[in-house]
Amino acid sequence: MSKKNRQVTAYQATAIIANAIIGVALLTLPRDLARTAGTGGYMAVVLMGLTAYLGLNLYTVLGRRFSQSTLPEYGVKSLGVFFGGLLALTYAAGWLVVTALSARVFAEIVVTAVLPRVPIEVGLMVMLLLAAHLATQDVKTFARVNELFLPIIVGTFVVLLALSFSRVEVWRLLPPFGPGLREVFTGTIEATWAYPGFELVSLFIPFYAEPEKAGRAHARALFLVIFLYVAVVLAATGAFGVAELAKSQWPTLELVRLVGFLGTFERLEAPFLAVYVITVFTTSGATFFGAVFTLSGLFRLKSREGWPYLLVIPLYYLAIQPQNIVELGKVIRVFAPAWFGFILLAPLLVLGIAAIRKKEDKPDEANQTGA
Amino acid sequence: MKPTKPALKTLAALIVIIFLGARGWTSARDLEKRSFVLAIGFDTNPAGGFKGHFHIVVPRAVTTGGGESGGGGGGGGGGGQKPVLVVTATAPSLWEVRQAIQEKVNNPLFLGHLQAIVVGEDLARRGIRQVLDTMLRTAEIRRRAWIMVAEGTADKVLATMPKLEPVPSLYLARILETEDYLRLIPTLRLSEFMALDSNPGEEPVAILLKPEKDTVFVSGLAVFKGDRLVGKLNTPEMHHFLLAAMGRGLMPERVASPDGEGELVYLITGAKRTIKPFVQGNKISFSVRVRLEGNIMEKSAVHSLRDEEYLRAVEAALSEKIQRDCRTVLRHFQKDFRTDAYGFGNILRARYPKVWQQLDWEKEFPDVPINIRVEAKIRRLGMAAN
Amino acid sequence: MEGEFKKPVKPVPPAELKNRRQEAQRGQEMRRELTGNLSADLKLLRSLLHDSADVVVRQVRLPAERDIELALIFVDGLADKRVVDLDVLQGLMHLSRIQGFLDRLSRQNALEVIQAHLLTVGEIKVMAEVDRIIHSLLSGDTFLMVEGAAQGLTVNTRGYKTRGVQEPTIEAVVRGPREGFSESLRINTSLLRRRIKDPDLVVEMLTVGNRTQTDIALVYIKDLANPKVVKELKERIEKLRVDGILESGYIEQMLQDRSLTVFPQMQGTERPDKVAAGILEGRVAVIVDGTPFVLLAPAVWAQFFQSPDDYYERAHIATFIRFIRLTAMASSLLLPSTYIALASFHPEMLPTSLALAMAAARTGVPISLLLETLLMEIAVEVVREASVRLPGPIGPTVGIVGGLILGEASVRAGIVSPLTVIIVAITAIGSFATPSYSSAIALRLLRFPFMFLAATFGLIGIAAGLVLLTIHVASLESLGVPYLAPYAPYHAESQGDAVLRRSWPYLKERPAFLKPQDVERLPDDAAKEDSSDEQEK
Repeated sequence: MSKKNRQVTAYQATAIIANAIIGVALLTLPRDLARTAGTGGYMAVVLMGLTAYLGLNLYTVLGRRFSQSTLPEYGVKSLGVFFGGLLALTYAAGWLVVTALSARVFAEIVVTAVLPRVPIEVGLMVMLLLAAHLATQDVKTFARVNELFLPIIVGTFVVLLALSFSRVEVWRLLPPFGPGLREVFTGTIEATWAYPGFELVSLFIPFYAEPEKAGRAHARALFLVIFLYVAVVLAATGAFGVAELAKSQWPTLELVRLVGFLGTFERLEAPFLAVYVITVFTTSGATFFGAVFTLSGLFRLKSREGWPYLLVIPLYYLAIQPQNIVELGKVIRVFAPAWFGFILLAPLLVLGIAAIRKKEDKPDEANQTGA
Repeated sequence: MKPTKPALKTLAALIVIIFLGARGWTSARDLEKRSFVLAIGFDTNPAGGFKGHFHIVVPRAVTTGGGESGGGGGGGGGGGQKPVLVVTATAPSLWEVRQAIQEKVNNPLFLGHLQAIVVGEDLARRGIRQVLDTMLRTAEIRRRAWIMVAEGTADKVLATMPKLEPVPSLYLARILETEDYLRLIPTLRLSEFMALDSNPGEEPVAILLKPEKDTVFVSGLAVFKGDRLVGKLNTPEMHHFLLAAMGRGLMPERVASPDGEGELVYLITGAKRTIKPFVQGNKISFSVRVRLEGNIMEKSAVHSLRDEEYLRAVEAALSEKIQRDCRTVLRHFQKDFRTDAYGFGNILRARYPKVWQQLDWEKEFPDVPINIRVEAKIRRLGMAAN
Repeated sequence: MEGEFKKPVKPVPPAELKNRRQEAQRGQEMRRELTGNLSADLKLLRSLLHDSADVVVRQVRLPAERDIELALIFVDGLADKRVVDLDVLQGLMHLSRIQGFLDRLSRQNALEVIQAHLLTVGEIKVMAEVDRIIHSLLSGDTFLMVEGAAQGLTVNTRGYKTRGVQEPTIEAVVRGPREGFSESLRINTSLLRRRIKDPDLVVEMLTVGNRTQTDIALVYIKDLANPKVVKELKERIEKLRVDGILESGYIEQMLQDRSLTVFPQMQGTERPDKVAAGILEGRVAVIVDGTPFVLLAPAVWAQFFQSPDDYYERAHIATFIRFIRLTAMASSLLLPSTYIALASFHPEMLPTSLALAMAAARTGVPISLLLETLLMEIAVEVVREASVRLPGPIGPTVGIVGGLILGEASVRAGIVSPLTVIIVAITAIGSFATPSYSSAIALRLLRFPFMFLAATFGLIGIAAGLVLLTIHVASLESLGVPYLAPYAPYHAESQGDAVLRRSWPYLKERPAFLKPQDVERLPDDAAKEDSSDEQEK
C-alpha cells in the first residue's frame, strides 16, 4: 500500500468530492431550511458550506503532511495501531451508515414518486448493489466514473434551475436574512446532512497526480456544491414560498414537477429521478467505496473484489430499520450533526497529535521524476 | 490485464434474478391498459361528503384518421362515439370517490395526465382544503394541472362537450392556457394556487367557468380566503383586479372622447404595477402604481389623434377611468371579501418582517389605507395615422 | 509421436498437448540442416511437405560440360511462374553459358556465382535450416539447391494471386481516397509507405500460428510511437500460442486487456488513410497477412464515432456530423428501452395527445409492449443478417420484403403498433450510422439488456444500466490507454479532436493520452506564426 499509482487528476479530484457531497440531501434541503431558517435558508447553506470548506482544508493539510498515506494509514501512524485502527473503523462505519441512509431515502422517493408498486426492498437492494459494484473497482476507475458523471449531475440541475427560473417570485425570497440570526443557525443543523462526503478526499490525496493542485481542486468542488445548493434553495423558495415549501415532502422534486420541457414534455419527474440515480449512486457508491477501501487497508486484504457484495446484506438490514418516512427523517436528524461533527473534529485530532509526535511522510520523490 | 471479475458475473446473475422475479410487481402497465382521466370535478353532496366526476377518455374515439390500425369503430371525434365518458360517484372522502369510480371502470384509473380540476361553487364555499391536500399527496397528479371553479356545479361544466376540441377536458385546460398566454389572467395552475393558499399574506383566486349549451366560458374570478370561496368578480372587475394585483388583465378599455364626440378604445399591451408599503409607527399604508402602455385600436371620435394635446387628454381620461375601476374593486376586497388577494401582506412581510410578525393581517387588511394610482400611456395608433 | 505423451502424470489439456508436440517437432527440425547431398535433401524437403501435389521440383544440370546438379523447388500457385521461368531458370540456363560466367563456375563456388551473377531477382537469401526453408517455400519463395552445398538459395518469387487494391466496402466515405487494403500484406505495407515517406516508418515482421505461420507486420513511426506500447504489443504477439491466425480479429481478441466486454479494444479498418492517420498520431498498426482489416492500437472509444472524412471536411461540418453520429449511437442503444419505459411506466411524461394516440394505436395489439418491441428488434436483426448473407443482387430484396412489406403488413394486421415500427426503424438506422461496424454491433447487442431493465424499473432501470455500463467502460484500457480518454481522464488539450474537431491549423498537438514521444504535430515555429497572425484559441 505504500506505493500508489498517482493518476487521479485535479479535475477528477474535484468530481469525486462534488459528487460525494451532492446526494439525497438535496431533495429535502429546501424544506428543512424553510422550516427552520425561513427565507434565510440559503445563508445557512453558505455558512455550513464554509464550515465544510474548513474541514476539507484540514484533510488537505493532513494529505500534504502524509503525502504517501490514506486516512487509515496516517491514522495508525499518528495515533498508534489501536486508536488509529479505531478511528478508521469509525470512519468506515460512518460511511456505511451514510450509504445505507442514502439508499433508503432514494428508495423512498422512487417508490413514492415514480414506481408505486415496486417494494421498497427492491429499490434499496438495487441501489446498494450498484454502490457495491462501484466499491469493487480500483481507484482510477472510480475517479473516471466520477468525472464522467459530474457534468451530467450539474448539467441536470442547471437545466432544472433554468426552467424553474421564470417561476421564481422575488417577494417570496424576502426578507433576505430570514426571520433572524438564531433561526439561520438552527438551519445550519439541518444543513449538516447536506455536506458530508468531502472527508472522502482523505483516501484519494495520495493518489493525486498533481498534489500541488489539491487545494484548488478541493475548493472548486466545494464552491460548486455551495453554489448548486444555494441556487436550488433559492429557486424552491422563490417558486413555492416558505409556507408551501414546509408542507412538501420532496421540495426539489416539486420544483421538477413545476416545470415542463420544450413545451412538449409535461412531466419530468421520471427522467429527473433517473439522473438522480446517478447522483445518489455517486454518493452512496463513494461512501461504500471509502468504507471498503478503509476496511481492506485496515485488515490488509489484497483484493477488493467479491466481499464488498456481502456487506450489502447488513447494510440492507440497517437501511430497512426505520419503520416509516417520519422515523427515517428523525434518524437522519440525529445522525447527520453527529457525523458532521465527527468528520470535522477527527482530522483536527489527528493533525494535533501528529504535530506533537512529529509524524509525517517523507516528500514524494517518485512524483517529481515520474508522471 | 486481469481476467473477468467474478463480481461482474454475480451482479449479472442478480440482475437477471431480479428481472425474472420482477414482472409481477413492477409498476409496468402498458398505456392502453390505463384509463386516462383528463379532468376531474368535485361537488358537495347534499347528503354529505363529495360528489366526484371523472372525465375518462376513450383513446380510440379521440384520434381522428388514425384508425388504420384496426377496425374503424367510432372513427373521428365528432362521430358516433363520445371521446370522453363522465363517470360520477359519491363518497365521504375524495379517495373513496376515486375508489367508487374505479369500480365502474375496466382499467386502472390513471391521473398522470390530469389537465383540469373543476371545483363546484358550493364545495368552494365550504372549503377545498381536503381537495388540495390530496392533490399534493398524490404523486401521480400533475402540479401543472389547471384549477378552476364552476359557477353552479362542476358536473355541468364537465358535461358540456365543446365542439372546438375533440377532448372536452383539453378544452377546459386550453381556455385557461389561452387566457394565460394572452396575459388576461395570471398563471393559475394547481401549483400556484396551492402556493397562494399556503403562504401568509397572499390569498388565492381562481377562474370562474360558466357552462352553456355547447360550451364553457370564463365568467369571472372566484375570490378565496384561505381555501374558502368568499366572493365572485365579473369579468371587467376581474381585469381591474388583475391590473392592480399582478400587472395582468390586458383587456381593451373604452373611454369617452374628452371633446365629447364619440368614444375611443384603448388596448392595453403592457402593464407594470409596483406596490410600496409604508410603515410609520403603528400605521401601515400602501401605494400601488400601475403603469399601462397601450394602443388606440378603435374609435368613433372625430378628433385627430395627431393632436398631442388631445392625446394627453385621452390619456388622462383613461387613467382616471381605470383608476376609478381599480379602486372600486379594491374596496370590494377590503370591505366585502376581506381577503388580500393582492398580496399586500406578502410584500409587507418581505419588507418589514418585524412589523409583520406582530401583526394580525387578516384583521388589519380591511382598514389599511391603500392608494392606487394608474397612469395610462398611449404609445401607438395601430396601422392608422389619425 | 503421440506415444511420448501416452501416459501423462496428470491430464494435460489438448491444446497444451498440441503445443508441446509442435514444439518438439520444431526443435527437431531446428537441428536439422541441409546435408549437401542433393537427392537426400530433396527427399527430406519433399517428405516434410508430404509430397503435396502443388510442390514442384525442377532439376537442372548446368552447363552440360561442368555438370553441376541443381534443383529448384517451389509451391505451385504461391510462386510467380513468370519470375521462376524468366528470372531464375533463364538466368541459370542461358546466362551461365556466357563465357565469363562459365569460367568462374565450378562445383565449389556454384552457389556464390549463381547468387552474384545469374539470378535477376531482387531478394535472395542463403539458407541452411530446413524449417526456415520450408517456411519460405510456403510463403511463395523458390528454393535453389546445388549438389554438394549444405546451403541453398531462397529466391523471392512470391507472386500468388491476390485481389488488387479496391474500394473499401464497409467503410465508405463521401470524400477521401477510394483505396482499401487488400489481402496481401505486402500491398498493404506499400499502401502505408506510399502515404508516409518517413524513413522512421518501421515495418516489423512477426510470424504467428504454429500451423498457419501467418505473417504479421507491426507498422509504426519509430520516433513517434510510444515505445512501451510497441514493446507491449510485440511481446503479447510473440507470446501468442495458436495454431492459426486467419484474420486480424483473432489477434484483436487474443491481445485485448479484458475479454468480458462487447467493446472493441483495437480498431479494425480497411482504410489505409485511417491507418496512416493513426500511425501519425503515434499508434501502432498491426497488419495480418490474408485480411484487408488492419488493426490500430491502442484504441479509444472516441475513435469509433470518427470517420476519416471528418478530417477532410471542414471542421464545423465534421463536428456537426459527429454530434449526429453520437445521437444516432445513443438512439441505437437507448431508444427502444426508453420507448418501453415511457409507454409502460411513465406515460405521464408524454404529451397528452401523443399518449392518447399511442393508447389508441395499441388498443387491440395482443402482445405486451416489451414483447412487441423485442420481437420487432429481433426481426430487424434477422433482416439485417439475412441481407448480409445473401448474394449481392438479392440482398436489397430482403430489406424491402422484411422492412417494408412485413412492417406494413404487421401494422395493418394489428399485431404491432405503428409507433413501435417507427421506433425500431429509427434504432436500426441509428445503428447503421455508426462508422465502426464492430462498435455498432456492440451497441446493438447492449440494447437488449437495456430493454429488459426498462421493462423492470422504467427509466430508473435504464439509469442503473447506464451506471453499470459507465463503470464497465471506464475500467477498460487498451494497451495502457484509458478507453474513455480524452473524456475520462479528461485531457483538455486533446478535446480539439474528440467530439469537436478543430480546424487543422489549430490541431497542433497529437492526442496526448496516447503518450506519443513527440506531442507537437506542427513544429513550434509554425505554430507560433499561426498564433501570431490568427486569433488565439
